[in-house]
Amino acid sequence: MPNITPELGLALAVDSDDTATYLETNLGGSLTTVDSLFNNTSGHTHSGAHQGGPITSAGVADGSLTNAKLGPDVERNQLLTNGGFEIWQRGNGPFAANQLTADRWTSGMGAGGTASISRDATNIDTSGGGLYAAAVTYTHGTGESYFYQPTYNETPHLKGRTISFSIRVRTSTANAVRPCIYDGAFTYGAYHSGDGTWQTLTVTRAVGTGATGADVRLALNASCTAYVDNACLVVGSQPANYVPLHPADDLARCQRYYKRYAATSTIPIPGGQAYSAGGFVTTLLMAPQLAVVPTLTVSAAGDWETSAANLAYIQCSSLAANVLHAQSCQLIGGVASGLVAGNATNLQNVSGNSWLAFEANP
Amino acid sequence: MSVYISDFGDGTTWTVTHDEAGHVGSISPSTVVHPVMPDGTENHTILLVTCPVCGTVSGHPAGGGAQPQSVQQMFVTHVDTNGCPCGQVATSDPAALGESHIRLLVNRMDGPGRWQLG
Repeated sequence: MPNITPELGLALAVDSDDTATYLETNLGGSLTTVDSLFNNTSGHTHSGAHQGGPITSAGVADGSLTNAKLGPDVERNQLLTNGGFEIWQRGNGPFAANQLTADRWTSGMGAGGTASISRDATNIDTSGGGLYAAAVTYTHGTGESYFYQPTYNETPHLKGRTISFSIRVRTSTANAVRPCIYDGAFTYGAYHSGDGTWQTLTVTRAVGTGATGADVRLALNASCTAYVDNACLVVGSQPANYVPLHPADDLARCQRYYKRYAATSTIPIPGGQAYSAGGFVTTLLMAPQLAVVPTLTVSAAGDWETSAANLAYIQCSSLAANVLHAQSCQLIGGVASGLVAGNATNLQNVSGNSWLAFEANP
Repeated sequence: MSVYISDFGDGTTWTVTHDEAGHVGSISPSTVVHPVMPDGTENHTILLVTCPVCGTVSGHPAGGGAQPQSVQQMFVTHVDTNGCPCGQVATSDPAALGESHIRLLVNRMDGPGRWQLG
């Protein structure tokens, strides 16, 4: 590269990716300057590929950049499930207080408090992308209430670690909503100002070594409507902005706790076997494995039918779980007659009203 | 989102909530039963609760599944009244024995940290 400016004390380097001689420097702020010089003289734009923020001291040594130096836009390992509020397997709501709402998000009311929580496709945090947020309509009683993800029993690995929680909230009520971390004791972040804009609320806590785990929550202390979106829990003293997972990973995390079979078309559940003219069993495998042994809920037996030897379907008179494990389960069903012991049989739904769901809440 | 006992009342009638459908109703505790296996034996690790409104059935594991506190209480109350089909607890046994048996099932199923009753 011509016209090197020696008065800046720049070191010469070779950039193999664009076959140009290029400069790099340890002088504060000069990476940007050098890139500009290069662009001006060569007509070639590096688009900032060699620029960083201002470096005000001699270069950053390998392995010396600590978590505390990271900005919120540096992606880190997201520890929450469904942090983007994109997955609502239980439906769109409204959900009353103390019910699970969006996957893995629930509420707990203080004395006299009530809440209604719904999926909201309009009032979303557009800065974070996605399709949905949670709309929390809260009426205050006398005690603090919470909208939260119950991670407490699944986070023993957080003991003794500093963790940071961030969440996007929009409300027009001041001093109504603030984030908190609970590990047996509460640590709170600042309240939303109530200006009606989306704000990033954050809180950081060093989880006690004697804690069983840690929950992240939105604490509700005044009647309000709050829109909630894009939450992120990370290890470290610096909160991180929500970064979406691949949809497959997002759903897989949710299905560790809840998995629902429901459709307006046929759901075939193959692999069953008749053990008498009126009885059969069939097995469902769990993928991913559930957090604990689940409850299996099946809609009314008349919503289901199973195949006879000629593949004609016979309506069920009973259907329920008879073996449950975190990895698989078995259903046992009955029909009036028409099965042959030892034959295979396929279970399927009769209508769009049919559904079954596994739920494992640790 | 299951069918579960939301109030054990005086023990003669239980209140059932099927929260997904918004159904609430009363049942006799005798309608809560273990599933019967193809060989005719009962599986003592599961209890079935049927929604009195729509017939939806939840099979709850002793560990608790979707509603750990309510389900564990249901198992303890059930074994106290009916004994256990495995033969380890009789109806005449003290309540503490039944509770110990259920706690053992919970520990085996989900680990010792799962027990949520006092």
